[in-house]
Amino acid sequence: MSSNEKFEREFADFLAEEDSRLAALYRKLPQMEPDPRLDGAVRAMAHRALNPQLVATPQASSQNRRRGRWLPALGAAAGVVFAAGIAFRLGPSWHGDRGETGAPASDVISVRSVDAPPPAPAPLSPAPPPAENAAAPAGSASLSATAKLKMKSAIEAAKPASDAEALEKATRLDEGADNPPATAGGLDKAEKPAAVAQPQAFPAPPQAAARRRASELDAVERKQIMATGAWQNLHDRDTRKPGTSAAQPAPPVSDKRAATAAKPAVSPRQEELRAASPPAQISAEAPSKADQAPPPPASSAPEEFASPAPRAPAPAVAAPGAKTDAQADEGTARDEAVAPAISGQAAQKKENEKVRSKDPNAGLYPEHWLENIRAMLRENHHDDAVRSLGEFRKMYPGYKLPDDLRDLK
Amino acid sequence: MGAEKTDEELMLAYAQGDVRAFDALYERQRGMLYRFILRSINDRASADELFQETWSRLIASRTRYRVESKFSTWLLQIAHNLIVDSFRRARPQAGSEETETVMRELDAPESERPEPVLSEFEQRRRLQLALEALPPEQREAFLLRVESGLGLEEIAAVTGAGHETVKSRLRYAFAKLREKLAE
Repeated sequence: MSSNEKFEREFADFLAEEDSRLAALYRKLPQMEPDPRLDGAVRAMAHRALNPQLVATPQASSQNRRRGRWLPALGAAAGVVFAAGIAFRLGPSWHGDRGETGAPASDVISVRSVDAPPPAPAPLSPAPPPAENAAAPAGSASLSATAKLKMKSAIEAAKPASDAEALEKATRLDEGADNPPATAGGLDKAEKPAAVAQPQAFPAPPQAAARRRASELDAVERKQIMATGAWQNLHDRDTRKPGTSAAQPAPPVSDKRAATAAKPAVSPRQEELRAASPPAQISAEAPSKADQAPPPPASSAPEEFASPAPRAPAPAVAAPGAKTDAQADEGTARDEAVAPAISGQAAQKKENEKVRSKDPNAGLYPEHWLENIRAMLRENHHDDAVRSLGEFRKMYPGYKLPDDLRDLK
Repeated sequence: MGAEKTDEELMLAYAQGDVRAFDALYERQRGMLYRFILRSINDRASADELFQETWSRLIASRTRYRVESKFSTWLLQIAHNLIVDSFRRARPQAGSEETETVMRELDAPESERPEPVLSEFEQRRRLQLALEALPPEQREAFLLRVESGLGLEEIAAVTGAGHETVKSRLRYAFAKLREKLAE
C-alpha cells in the first residue's frame, strides 16, 4: 500500500468519524473549560435577559454604580444649564444697559428713579405730588444723579446762598458729566426714557451738541423758563411753522461753536436763577396774591413743570433758521435758540407775573389750565371759564387753543 | 428533564422564558465552545471575551431562533464570526511567528505544557504546536470537525465556505498534522 493510499484511507476515517489516530490524540489534549466566574457571568446574563430586576451581573452592578455616580453630576450640570438659560433670557436688558453705560446697575436705577418722568402722560395728571418730589423730577435728564440730589436738597433748603452754590455745583457737575464714562453713561440712560416717551422732542440728535444742549436744559432752567413765560415762546416756536415763529432766528453755526456758545449762556441763566426764587417759592407767591380762588398746592408749579419737562427741549427744535438745515444742525440751532429765549425771560417774567396774579391757574401748565377751564364748563361755571380763558389768552397770546375752547365766549 | 431534550428544544424553551433550559443548554455546550474558541485564537483572555460575547449574542437573539439547523451549528457560527473579526483586528498588531511564540506559552497551564523529557506528553505537544501552526481556516475546519464533531456540510454552513473548500481545508490540515506527528 502506497503512502498516498494510506493517507486517503486515514483521511476518510477521519472524515467518517471512525477511529482516527489523530482524533484520538486530540482528545488527549487538555480539556480546557471556562472558569466558574465566566460561567456565572454568562448565566446571570441569560437570567437577566428574561427578568432584568431579579438578577444582576457583577458587570451590570458596576454599571449601575457608575450610573449612580453620574446622576448627581448630570443633575448639577442640568441645573447650571437651566440657570444659565434663565440668566440669558433675562440678560439682554441689563446687559445692554451695562454695556452702554459702563456704570453699575445701581447707578442707572437710581438715575431712572429720580429723573424718569412718570409713565403716564404727565401733563394731564391732576394730582400733584409733593413739592420735594416735584422739584427733582423736573426733567433734569442732563444732570447726574449726584448733582440732582444735591440740587434738590439745595432747593428744599430754600436758602439763596446755598441754593446758588448748589446750582453752581450742579452746573459744574453737569458740564463735567460728559467726561466720566460712568456719569455720561448714566446721563444717556436718563435721556433714553425721555426720548422714548417724547420721540418728537428729541428727533434723534445725532451729535454731541444736541446731547449737550439737552443737558443744559436742566430742571431748574426749565422751571425758570416756564415760570417766566419763556417756555410759551419756546412752545410756540415748536408748534408754529418756522416762518411764523416769534423767536429770533439763530444763525447756523457749527457744533463746536454751538457747544462753546451754549456755555456762556449758562452764566446769565445762573444769575437769573440766583435772582429768582426757588420754584417752590415762585409757586407759593401765586396763591398769596390770588385770594379769591383756592390756592393751588405749593408744589403745583414744579409739578406742572416736571410733567412737561421732556417737552421742554422741543421748542428749541423750532428755530426757523435751523429747520431747513440738515438734521445734524438741529442740535446746534436748538442750542442757539435756547439762549435768546432765556435771555428774554426777565422781561416776559414781569408781564406774566401780572397776569398770573389775576387767575389762580396762571401758574399751571397751559394744558392743565385749559383742562381746568373745561372742568369749569362741566361744572356750569361758564363765567369763570370765560374769564379764565381770557386770562389764558392774555398770558399765552400765541397759544393755539383747542377746538372746544376756541369759540368760547 | 433538560438532558432528555435536544439542544434545539432547550433553546426554544429558553426563548419562551425557561431559565433552567438555558442552564442545561449551557452546560452541554460550554466546554466545546470554549475549547473551539481558545484553540482557534490561542489567547485565554480573548477566548474568555469571545466566549462571553458569543453567549451574549445568542441570548440577545433568542426570540429570533428558528430550528433550521443544529443548535451547535448556530452557536459555532456566532463564535466563528467573532473569531474572524478578532483575527481581522489582531492581524496588524503582531506577526504570526511572534504570536505563535507568545501563545504557545499562554495556551496551556504550566503543569500541562509539553516537555521534551516527558514522552507521554510529546505527541500532545507536537499536535498542539502543529495546530497552532495551521492556517486559521484549516485549523478552524479541523477543530469544527474534531472538537465540535461537525460534518462537512455543517462546517460549510458555519464557515460560509463551500463543501469542497471545507474538504480541501481539512485535507491540508490533516496532512500537516500527520506530518508533524510523524517527525
